[in-house]
Amino acid sequence: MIKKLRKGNGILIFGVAWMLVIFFLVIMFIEVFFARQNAMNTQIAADSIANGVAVYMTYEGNSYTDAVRERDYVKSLVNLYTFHDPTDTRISDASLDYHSLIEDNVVDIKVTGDFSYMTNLNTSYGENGNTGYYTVHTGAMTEYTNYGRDLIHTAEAYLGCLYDYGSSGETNHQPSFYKLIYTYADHEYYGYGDSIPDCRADIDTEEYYEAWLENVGIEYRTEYALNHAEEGLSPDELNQARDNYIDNIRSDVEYSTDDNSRMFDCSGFVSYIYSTVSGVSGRVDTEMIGDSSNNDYRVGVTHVLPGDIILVNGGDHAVLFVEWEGNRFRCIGVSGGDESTYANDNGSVRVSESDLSSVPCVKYSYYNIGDVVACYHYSAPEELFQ
Amino acid sequence: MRKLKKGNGEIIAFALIVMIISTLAIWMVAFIQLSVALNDITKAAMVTGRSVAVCTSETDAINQGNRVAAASIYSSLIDNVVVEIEHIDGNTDWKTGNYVAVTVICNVNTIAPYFVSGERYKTVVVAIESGD
Repeated sequence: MIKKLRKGNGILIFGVAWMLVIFFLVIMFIEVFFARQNAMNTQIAADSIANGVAVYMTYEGNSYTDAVRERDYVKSLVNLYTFHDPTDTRISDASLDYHSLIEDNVVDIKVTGDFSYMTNLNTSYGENGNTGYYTVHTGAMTEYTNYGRDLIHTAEAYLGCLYDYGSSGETNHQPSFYKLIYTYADHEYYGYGDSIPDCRADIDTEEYYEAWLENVGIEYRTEYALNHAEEGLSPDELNQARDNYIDNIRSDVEYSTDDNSRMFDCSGFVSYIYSTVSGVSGRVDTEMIGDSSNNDYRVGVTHVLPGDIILVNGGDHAVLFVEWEGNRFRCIGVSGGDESTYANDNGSVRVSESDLSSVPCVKYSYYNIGDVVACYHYSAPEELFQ
Repeated sequence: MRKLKKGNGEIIAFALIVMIISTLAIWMVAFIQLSVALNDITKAAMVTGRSVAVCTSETDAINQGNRVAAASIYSSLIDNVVVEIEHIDGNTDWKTGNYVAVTVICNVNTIAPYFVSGERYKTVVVAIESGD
């Protein structure tokens, strides 16, 4: 070969070599250009999906499954509007802790995009030999915790339960009778400003009912006899009337022995729900919640989250926020105030069809923005009860 | 053609090769410039998307987006920066959780006057975080 080369052939070989070098340089530049664009598109897709899922989990999502569903939805939007189709998107189950009660979560997402090389020269990348993969690992903070959802679910389990007004709201309905039981049981009245350390819902009403029947009930029998002594009843008729009276009381009181017949006032209910979910016991009345208006837990009405505490009615009433319905707050709680709140039922479950049917209970209620005095987002019950 | 003498072909070939190589070099540099410009546009789109997401109204978002996009692009290769916002999930309200497509549109000027230069854009999908 060498012998056959003539003068000028060296220049030819040199020129061909340089042409090949330039050719491969051009190929390299083009591939690097597209790889770079693909990497940036993958980064954008990862950011869009992570932030979209984070926002969704903050305001609507309730589980890891919800996050995965929203991830797929955002991915379809990204594909449609940026023309980038990631091959794989994964959300870390561990980072989006389904069981987290207190700390905010992180949407930890991994997005993989692929791009095809123009040639098959490089076979060391990818499963198909001429396909490269670029993976972006990114995260976004979300205010999602299961804490608020657990609060709401726990509160909803008490829908229809009896409640008590608090010291400022006497009623002619049966709750005054229930209060007698607690009075007898040496439990102070549990209402505004009282400092009983635990919610009265923890009291075993059946136990106190039996005690009442054995002791205080006697006084009622006597009182009844005195009130009806002038009605001309025979001793047997009087005894029968007293027994009937007691039986009626018994049938009513038995409602209070039902697990669904616990009594709260508004802030007592809030305290009880927080205590039940967190395991941190404590009693916070409405005034104490209002006193925390200068701390870090107060949030604007547009940032209220499920389970947050809302003060309404001039700051005298506390309820738990459930969700927005139009421009109204849908809340759950017990009605404070007076008898006028009877009509404010809003679909709550009645306790029974007996005489107690008119007794107000734990219910959904609705408030306009103008009704709201303050909203509080408590990240941990220790901070609520401190 | 008759006036061509021996050796003139080399000059003509050299001239042609110089033009081809110069053209290739210009295009390579232009692609590098385009790559750098697209990188800037992508970064601008990302920060613009974040700034739009936290706005409380669409009007505010458009104004804020244009300011942020213009402020985040320093390259002399890019001018005429415009931001467009489009509702993409069937909702037209500026409401928390709804999705919008934020597009940063720019004019890229490279040393290659045709094909590589011209209008370029980058779109990001963002979820509204501070709507009603």
